[in-house]
Amino acid sequence: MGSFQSLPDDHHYRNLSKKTGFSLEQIGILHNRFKQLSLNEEILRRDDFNKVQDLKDNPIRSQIVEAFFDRRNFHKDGVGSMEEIGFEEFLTVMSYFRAPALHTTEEQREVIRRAKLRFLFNMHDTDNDGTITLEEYRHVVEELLSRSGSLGKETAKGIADTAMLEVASISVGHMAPDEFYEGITFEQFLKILKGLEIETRMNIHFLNMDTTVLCK
Amino acid sequence: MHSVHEEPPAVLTSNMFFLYMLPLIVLDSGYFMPTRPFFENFGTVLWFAVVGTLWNSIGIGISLFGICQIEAFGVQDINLQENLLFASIISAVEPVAVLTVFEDISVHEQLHIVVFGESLFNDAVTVVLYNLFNHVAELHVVEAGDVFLGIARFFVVGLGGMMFGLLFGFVAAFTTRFTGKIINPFRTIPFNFKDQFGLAYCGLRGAVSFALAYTLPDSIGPKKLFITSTIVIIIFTVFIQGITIRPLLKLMNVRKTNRNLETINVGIHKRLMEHTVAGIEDLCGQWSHYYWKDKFMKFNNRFIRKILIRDDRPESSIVALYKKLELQNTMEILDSMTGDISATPSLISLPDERKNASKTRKVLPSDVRNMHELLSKNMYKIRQRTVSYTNKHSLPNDVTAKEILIRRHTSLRRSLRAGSFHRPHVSKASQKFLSLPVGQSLNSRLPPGRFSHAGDGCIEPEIHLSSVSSMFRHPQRSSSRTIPLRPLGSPEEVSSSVKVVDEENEKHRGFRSSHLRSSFTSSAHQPSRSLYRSTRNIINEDGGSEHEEQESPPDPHAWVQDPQNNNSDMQFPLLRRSQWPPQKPQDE
Repeated sequence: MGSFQSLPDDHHYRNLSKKTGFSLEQIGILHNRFKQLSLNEEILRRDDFNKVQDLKDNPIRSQIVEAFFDRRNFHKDGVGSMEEIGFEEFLTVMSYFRAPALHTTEEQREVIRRAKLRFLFNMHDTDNDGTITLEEYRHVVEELLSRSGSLGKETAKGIADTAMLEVASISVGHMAPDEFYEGITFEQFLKILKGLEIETRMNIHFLNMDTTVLCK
Repeated sequence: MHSVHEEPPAVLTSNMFFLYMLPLIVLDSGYFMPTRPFFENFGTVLWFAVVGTLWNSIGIGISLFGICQIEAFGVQDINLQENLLFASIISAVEPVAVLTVFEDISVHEQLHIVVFGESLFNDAVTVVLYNLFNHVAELHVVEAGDVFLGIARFFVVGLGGMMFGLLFGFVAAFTTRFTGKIINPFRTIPFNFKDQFGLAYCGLRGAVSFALAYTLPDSIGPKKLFITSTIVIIIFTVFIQGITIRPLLKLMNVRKTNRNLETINVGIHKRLMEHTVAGIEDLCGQWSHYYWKDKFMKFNNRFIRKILIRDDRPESSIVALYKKLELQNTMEILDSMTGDISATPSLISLPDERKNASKTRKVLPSDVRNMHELLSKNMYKIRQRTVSYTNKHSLPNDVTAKEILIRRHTSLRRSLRAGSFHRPHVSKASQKFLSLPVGQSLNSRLPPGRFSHAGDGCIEPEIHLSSVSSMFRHPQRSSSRTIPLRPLGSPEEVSSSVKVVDEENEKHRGFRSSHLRSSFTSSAHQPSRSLYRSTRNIINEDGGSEHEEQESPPDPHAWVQDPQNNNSDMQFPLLRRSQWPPQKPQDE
């Protein structure tokens, strides 16, 4: 693929633009980045992500990388994960982080919000059963706290437990004696995160300027 | 006016103000600055402060000049420079009164922060402008070169001032390392019209303006006029605007802070989201403020904190939040604690499923009900004290922790009087107040009267654990299993758990281990550890049986993977804190 000025790319880009909502320049820039990461190949693999220096310090690095290969993020009914992805998948994942345009209606914002929260939910739900179980939640909390050092696993467990409990009490209310709380479903997840204004915060300001030369 | 003929009050010379008062004011504001919301809105704040003030001054100056030209007012002799000077004086918006009102009516955090930041910065801008125009006004002829010089001077003064500010800020932080503990900063969205109106209306003028006016050099002709008008403006804004701000804002329903619902989940996911976004930013090479925030935090943690902060133990803000909530929970529970223990059957311990399955099932409904009641009671009744924890006007202290312990004492005594209940299958557990069933907290051992209920009937948040475990289908935790008391991670935990154990000892042995109480104030690692050890000895004396129990093999299906390591003291360290030193939370 040559520069993004050439025609076949242009057409391809237009499709992508329609699908993901990025502008053509942004797609071009992201494609440059893709090529940088993949060493000019057509596909990305997981180890290509590990090349990014800054990502190494991120406590939830593995979840983030995994999110790129998660079929659920590509389309609604995707299942399982892929081993390698192309630019389209890369872009699709990126599009979760686009900011909503200024003049979106309430329903559109709700849709966007659901999409973003779905992304986060998928990060939790690694075994793909549609619920976040205690184990999965605990795992995430542990990773999040892994940088604060001394506190360790027990605190993480306690926190995860309390969090699950919060969800349980909010969503389920009274439980029959034989019931076990399986895990957080997506609807409950939505409910519990009402206080977090995700659609305005979980955004990346995608530039129209090529900053890839500055990247490591 | 007569008074205007007098000299300025002897104390308020220009030097005095600039060298002594202003820095202190700025320090006061800066010290209590809530960093995170501040930096998230940094762009806005700067915009308002610098550009806004500039625009303000110039706009006012020019329009005043225009007005002055109107003959009817008879003040044609005021030239442009002087007008500008005056404008710069009165555009110094004064934060204190405004912020007080804002806080009082719980205005939305964003608004709060922007006003705060704006006033913080525009003091600087104002002063610089003032100097600039002062200088300019004294020249009778303004040439183009002068204008450029003036602009250059602006930058020089600005940057130089910033450098000094940084320097002194460092010095201040450094000294406080030794004198006190550093307060945790606490723990985003376009302004709608109402917010803007609030912002506009809150432009109260105050101290800075007054001082500046007074220190005008006498060469300025219409000085008296300026002073008078400054005073009038100040009075007007402070009193009239100030008094009417509150009802007006209420009337317009300016968005209020959402103070109640900072649940753990929200806290966790906020963090998760931030890391995710930062990670993706790294990945795609597009940096926005998350990136810089991340970088700054790293730099901060590595160098600055080590140098400037005394008690450099990193603590995640999730954990801090969690602990705060735990603290509340405890307080509320202790508040509501009655002598009624029957409502808390073996919530805590889950006997082996094989053995006591039926009994467990029998009591679960009421357990769950209780738990839910507790949760709902505790979760939505967040006390003000947590929110204003790091407020400027209420420094954290040990009162809270002491309160908890006081209440615990009283509840202890109460339950002692209430007598103890016995349940046959857990009679052994009553002895085990020194050891913990799997997943239990040391805390739930209190009060002793409740031990018989498989070891604890305390209506405390730890209750959740067992129900949680039952709910999450991880059964098979034995109440008879005990966990050795292992050394706790932080001195506070040690000292508080030591304190807790001490109470039990006291009750059963009448020990007067008042020395353990002194662990309250000790925050050093060493003494606590030795205290722990000494207590452990006491424990050893008490119940050999417990320690034998500790060697029992862990149940392979237990909820916790390694019961040996699972000291739930770690899980709920907060409740064992004898003091609540505000540790600086750190983003991971």
